[in-house]
Amino acid sequence: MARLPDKSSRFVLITTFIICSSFLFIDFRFGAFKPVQNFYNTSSIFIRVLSTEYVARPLYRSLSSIWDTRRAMEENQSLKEELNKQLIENFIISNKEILNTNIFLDVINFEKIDLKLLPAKVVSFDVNQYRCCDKHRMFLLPEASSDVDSFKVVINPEGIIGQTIKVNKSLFEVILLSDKSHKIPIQNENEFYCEASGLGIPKKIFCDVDLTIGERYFELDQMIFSSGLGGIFPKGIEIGSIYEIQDLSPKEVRIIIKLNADPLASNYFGVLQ
Amino acid sequence: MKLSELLFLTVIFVLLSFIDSQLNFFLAGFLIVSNITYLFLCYLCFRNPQKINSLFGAYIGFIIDLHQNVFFGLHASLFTLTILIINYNYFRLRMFSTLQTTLVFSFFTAFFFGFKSILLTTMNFQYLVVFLSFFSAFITYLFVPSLGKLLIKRTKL
Repeated sequence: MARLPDKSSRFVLITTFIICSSFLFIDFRFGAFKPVQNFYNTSSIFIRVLSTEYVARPLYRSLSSIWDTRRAMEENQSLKEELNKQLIENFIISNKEILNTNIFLDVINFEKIDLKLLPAKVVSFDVNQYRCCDKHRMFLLPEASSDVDSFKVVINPEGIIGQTIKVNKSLFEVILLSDKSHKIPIQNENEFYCEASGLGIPKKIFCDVDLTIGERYFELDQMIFSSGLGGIFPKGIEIGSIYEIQDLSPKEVRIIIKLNADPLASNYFGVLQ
Repeated sequence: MKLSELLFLTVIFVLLSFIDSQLNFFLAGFLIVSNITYLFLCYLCFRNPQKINSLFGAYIGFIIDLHQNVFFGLHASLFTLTILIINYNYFRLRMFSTLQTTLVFSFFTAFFFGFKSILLTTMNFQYLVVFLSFFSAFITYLFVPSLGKLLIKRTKL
């Protein structure tokens, strides 16, 4: 008789084998354990379906929804940027005649030659400072690797925003029209000329008018255009409208002009080269 | 054997059974079968016959029968028989070299697979597959000890 390695008796070994063989025979011959197997199969399928439907799939959905949301946001952002670019181009096209006749822009045939519009994206804009203080500046990054010199006009779909100040090759600063230290020559339809300064309030510029020089014709809500006299801004572009007329003295009034273009309206701007 | 060890081994055997069925799906065209589960049981039984006894073999066999949806008791009786044979020849097998042990277990595997085939694929029984299963088991068993050590590293089996 062979010696066994463990303490269990031969009886247990052989009995287990006989019982298992009996089970096999009964199942093979009569299919007696089919209900057990069916129960096991249905249970495992039920658990699998339950875990798939209520655990795996919701988890996958939530993960994929996060991914989809992120992708949708990115797509939305890129579409917004494209729309902004298109709107800037539309602004150029709608002001084509004015720009064509403007001496400061070397544009003769706007449709055939390059628009000379350099798209640029905001990289830094202190909105708090813009709302509270006099200094209204923003930093833009041009999309194309092109030098942006100082004194170039910056526009957005609503109109002129300001002008550039060169920082370095890939970055430039924009001084907004509403900046305290910015000046823009303006005119109205009645041949009234003035050099408007930034008021230090968002979308507001002002112009002090000496009434002793001559008779002036201006009124509230009157359209104000760029006069083009400074050599920087093109002539005849609509800047805004007269918002308020303040009497500084019997001989002097201050015209406050509300600008059309809001720098917060978009992240994309165009630089007229 | 502790309950945690039993559950752990049950999970491992079910996983190996699943891997076997997946491998057999791909190897069917080459007339080769994978029997990692059976070889793993042989290895465990040979390594620790006190814990891997016939009752454990029966239990795991019944679980695999249910999992693979075959005749109830098929794996159980074959596993029990294998454990019985290993137990009866334990000290003799201990004297064998690794190559000899591998040959013995490969022979067991061929027998196991042959018997299974007779019951499960009666109309499509192929001697060639049984013959090749010997060689495939021989090759597989070269990796089973490493796999076994890796899987049961944290248990005291």
